[in-house]
Amino acid sequence: MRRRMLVFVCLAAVWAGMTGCAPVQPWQREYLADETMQFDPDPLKAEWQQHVREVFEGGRGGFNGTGGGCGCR
Amino acid sequence: MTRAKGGRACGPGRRFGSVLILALVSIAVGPSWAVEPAQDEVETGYNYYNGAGVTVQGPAVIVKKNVLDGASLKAGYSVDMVSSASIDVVTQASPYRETRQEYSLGTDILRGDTLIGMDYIDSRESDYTSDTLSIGAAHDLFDKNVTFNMKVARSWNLVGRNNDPSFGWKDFNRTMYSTGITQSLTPRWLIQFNYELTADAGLINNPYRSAMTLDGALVPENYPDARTGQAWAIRTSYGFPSGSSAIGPGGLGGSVQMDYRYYRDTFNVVSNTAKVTLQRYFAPDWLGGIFYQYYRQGAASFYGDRLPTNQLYKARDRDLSEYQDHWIGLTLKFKLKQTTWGLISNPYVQIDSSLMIYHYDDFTDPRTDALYSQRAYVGHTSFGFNY
Amino acid sequence: MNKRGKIVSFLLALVFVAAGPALGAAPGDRAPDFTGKTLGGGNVKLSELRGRIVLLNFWGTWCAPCKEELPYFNRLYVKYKGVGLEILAVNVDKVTAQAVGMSGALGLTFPVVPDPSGHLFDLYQIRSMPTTFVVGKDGMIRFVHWGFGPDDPARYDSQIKSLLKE
Repeated sequence: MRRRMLVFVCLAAVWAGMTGCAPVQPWQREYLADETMQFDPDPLKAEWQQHVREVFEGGRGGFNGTGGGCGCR
Repeated sequence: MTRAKGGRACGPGRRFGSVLILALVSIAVGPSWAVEPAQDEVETGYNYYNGAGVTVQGPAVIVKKNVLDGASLKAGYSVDMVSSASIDVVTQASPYRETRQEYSLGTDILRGDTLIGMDYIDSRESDYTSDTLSIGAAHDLFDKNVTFNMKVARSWNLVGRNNDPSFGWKDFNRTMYSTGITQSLTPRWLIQFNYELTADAGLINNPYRSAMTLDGALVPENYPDARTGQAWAIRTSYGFPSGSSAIGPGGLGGSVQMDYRYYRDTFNVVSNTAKVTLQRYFAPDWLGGIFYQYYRQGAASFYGDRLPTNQLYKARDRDLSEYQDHWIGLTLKFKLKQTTWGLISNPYVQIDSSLMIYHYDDFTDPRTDALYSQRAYVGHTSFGFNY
Repeated sequence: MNKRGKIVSFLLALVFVAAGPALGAAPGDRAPDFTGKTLGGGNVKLSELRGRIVLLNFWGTWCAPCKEELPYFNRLYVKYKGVGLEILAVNVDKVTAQAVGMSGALGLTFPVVPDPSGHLFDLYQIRSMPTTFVVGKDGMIRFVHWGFGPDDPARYDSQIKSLLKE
């Protein structure tokens, strides 16, 4: 348990350091706003492909992230 | 986990039905992919699967609308028409046809840098009903360079057996927890880490499928009544500038995406998935794509093509066996960006076409005693627009 | 909470605090001067617009709220141009042809200044898309709008009217 906490603290510190700089300005998100840069931009297609996978595979889950995009309000 | 119809069933038909819930929970429910207002849109599509003796097809539609400042609603409907003569169906029962219908409702609420989403899905077929509720949140940090998301989903399902009233309705419930973080590394490079835990309880095996003893007799399958699985995934997306004059120098030419997922669970199933996708703009309105996915899985501890009669837990569902599969596909999309026809804008048409090839290391066709392999064609076409 | 728990909590708090929004050029600052070419071919220098109210808008064709805002600015320009309003829309698209296309499709009547390198976006420390600065007749930034929502048209209207009275 103690070792796990230490690993977590180190990872959090590394992550804080890495993300402490914001490498991409909001106005530089032109590429990131495009559908080809997103992970599952098309809900019906993604749903169908995920469904086919779930039917034939013993594994489940893992591809459910959000983020990227145009950074607009 | 698959809820397949074994004996009378088999396969994918029924599996498609019930397992769709899981797929939807993973993808369509919860916050949309980014913490920003979504545009009003309609998407209609047609799904098609043909392979391994099974055909599944049907339409699907989803409508999204912004209703108040920062709040949007979405509603969806889809139908799966199944015609199954899969290996389990033909060797343990007789071919069947069936239809599954599904309705979904969801809402997304955006407040500042936080997006909260709630979704409900209802699925019905003659021997399986499912209700799923999910709540998720996503939050942007560091000028939207980092997005952190969490989601919880619960699925209440009832499993029945056609033509067997004495079977009644049995519970099968699923809870899913997922969390992830997405980071923009450069203006053209994104990376994402996801973790998901899935906990099942109740009747996990397919009520139609049978296991086979060492001397070839059919006996009922028996699974533990609980199963917990974890998946860890990493995805990355890299955009490259266009070299063509059609797009314009400096404009986005396309992207390369790579995905990897590691999965393991309390049934002892361990799997690895690796996928690469390449997309390229041939002109501002024309997008083409190609992908390849490799999947390798180890068997559940109680799986066997033939099993000793005195083994307590027995499974002969090839989804839980040791196997590998290759999936390759093409996409073509035509989208009129910056175009408006009356109430409709940015209309598009898309066609996806792919082939899945499976090789099973420990599942045989009882008719020939040879190791089984299968091929399937998976297609999808859609038409959508903003309004 | 034990000591390790406190360290972890502190680090996480630090990450979240450091992650808060930075605001960029703010009301009360002088609007940084710049010169640029417009899509129409003319030149524009911000300091030469002293004596007029300037709406300085920062947008991109890939930004959905920006596309909703621009037709509204068109109507605003028609309404107040004669009494001293100027609108400059700075565009960040790497492919300027896309800005030309959208500008034409929306029928924009005010100058659009292409800035594919993002130099002006850097100068004004733009933190969200779209951002619009309302610059008074004296060249000072008076109001800033981040994003474009249903409240904004009324706010722009009252802000412009109050600045016109000065």
